[in-house]
Amino acid sequence: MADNEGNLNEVNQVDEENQYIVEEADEENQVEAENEEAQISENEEFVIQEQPKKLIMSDVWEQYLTTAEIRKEDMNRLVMNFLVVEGYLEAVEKFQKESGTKPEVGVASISDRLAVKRDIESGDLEDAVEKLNAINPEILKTNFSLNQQRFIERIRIGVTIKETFNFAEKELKPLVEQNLAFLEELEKTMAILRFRDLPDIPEAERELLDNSRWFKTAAEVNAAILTSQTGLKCPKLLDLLKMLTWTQNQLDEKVEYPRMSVLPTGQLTVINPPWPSE
Amino acid sequence: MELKNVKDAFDRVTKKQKLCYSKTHEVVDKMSQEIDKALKTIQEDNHESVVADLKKTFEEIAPINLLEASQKEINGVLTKYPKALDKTLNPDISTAYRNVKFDTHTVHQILAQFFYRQGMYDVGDCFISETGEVKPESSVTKAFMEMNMILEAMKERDLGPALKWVASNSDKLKEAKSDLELKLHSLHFLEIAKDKTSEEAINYARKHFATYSADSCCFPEIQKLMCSLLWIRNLNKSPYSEFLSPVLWTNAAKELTRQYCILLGESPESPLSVTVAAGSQVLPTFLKYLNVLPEKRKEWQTMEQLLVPVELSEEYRFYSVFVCPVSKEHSSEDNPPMRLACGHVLCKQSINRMSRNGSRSFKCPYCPTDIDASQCKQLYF
Repeated sequence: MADNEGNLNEVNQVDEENQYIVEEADEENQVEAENEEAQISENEEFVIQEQPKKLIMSDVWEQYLTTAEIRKEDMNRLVMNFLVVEGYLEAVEKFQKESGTKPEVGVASISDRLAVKRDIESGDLEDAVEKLNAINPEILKTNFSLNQQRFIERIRIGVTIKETFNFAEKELKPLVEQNLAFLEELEKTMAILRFRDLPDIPEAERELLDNSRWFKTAAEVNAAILTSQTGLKCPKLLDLLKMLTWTQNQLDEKVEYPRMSVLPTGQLTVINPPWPSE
Repeated sequence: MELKNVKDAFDRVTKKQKLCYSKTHEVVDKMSQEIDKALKTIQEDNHESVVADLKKTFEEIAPINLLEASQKEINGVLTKYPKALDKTLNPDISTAYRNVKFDTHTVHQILAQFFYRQGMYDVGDCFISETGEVKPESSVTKAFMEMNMILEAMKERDLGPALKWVASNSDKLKEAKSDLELKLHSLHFLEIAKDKTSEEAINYARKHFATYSADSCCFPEIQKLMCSLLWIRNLNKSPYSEFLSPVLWTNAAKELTRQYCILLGESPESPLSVTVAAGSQVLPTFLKYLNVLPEKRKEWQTMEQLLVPVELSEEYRFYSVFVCPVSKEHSSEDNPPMRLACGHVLCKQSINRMSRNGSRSFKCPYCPTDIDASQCKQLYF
């Protein structure tokens, strides 16, 4: 009986040794496969490098540029759009006088929008709300950030629990029901109610009280007003610059050309012919 | 899945029973009508042959035959139903019986403790006096009385006693890192918000939730609780409908029982209920084993080790068990697990066999290392 068991164990050992040998063979095959893959990738790189890029000289590029017709009226409208969106009130007025270009919205509208933004940034939220309601009542009903700030200000001021809670129920809850993405932020906000005084709020939750949030909210509201008035969020010039950057990145893959490397000045890199010109 | 057969058999019985019932009623109604007709005829002058006619009519109906037919059908399915039951639910568990000698004293203690835990104090006292055991310390009995009182109050949605107990044991619960305190305060917060005003709920939160900081693992739960106030009138249609679930109360009661028993130095589950629960998990395996291998029944009384695996839930495993990968046997005191020089583990008997009782080296079954039996060391779990 014991002898039989011993033999069985020996047979098992032999089988396992064979298994080990097979595993070694597999590893060697894998190494060879990896080498083949490396060679293939090297070949691919070599093929790519052979492809020549078209070369355009600076003087040829200049000729191309002159074929593009840019009307002065279009340029003026572009500048005016920039001034309007950025809120340079005096500049808008003077530019209108000099060039005769009309802004998309009246000066009064720009002034109102800037006033709202200023109020929010300085923490004067109720003034901002009054002005905002005069401009467009719908914006207040859809902006979570502004109403969140108003809620937090009520806590800061020391408004009663009942009144603060009623505000949340009336103003914040409908916004969350329309868009559940705000729910998590609302939970953070409501959690502050469990503290009696602001000094009791621990450090990790103080980010809700940070003043930098006012600037973020102001920017949001400003963009909302702009969108409702002009359909734009940022200056058209900004869009054009983004398009320019994208276009140049596309061209870089196929053509070597005088690139506009310094956007603020419009400076182009120079590509001259290798021989001296007479 | 097995219960489906039982259910099908039961459904067939109920179906035939309804059919038999309606047929019987039909026959009885018909006979009743005939009798009424006969009585009506007797009221009139011509009543010479009424009884004879009635008898003749009854013979034509042949009610006994009809009833017998219905009964025969229902008897058929009634006979099959117990067979389906027997097949699925084995009532004869005596096959798996072993005449094990228990320590009477220990068994008595286990039973008495069970009675006290369940709140059956009179039964427990009576049992103790009849068995002649020493009555447990009154502090333990009173403690279980208090626990049961708290749990009864919680069933009535009254958290007062539970909150009182938690407050007096707050430090110990924090030490144990139990979330019981928060669980109970959360439930109480929701009750206040529902039955009273949101303002009172917020005041309650200021008293009991303010101590949990944002880096606490409980913080997300508190945020949700505070936010759920906005939907408290319509909670079932809100993002927080989970707060209406009775499971919250069940879990809180379980956690309270657990923590209460731990602080008392007792196990959360009574030994008797653990034994019965573990046994009920294992019994089907035993019965199947003994029915499939009837010749094993002779060895059953003296068997020390099972030849089939027994799957117990995680909560019923109280110590580690090593099974030798070579011999497939459990380790025991006279056959302990041994660590080889290469780090793999076998039982002592397997090592003795493979090394010819230590007389020669052998190869580890898992790796190509040569093993000297004298270098193997016993493992302790």
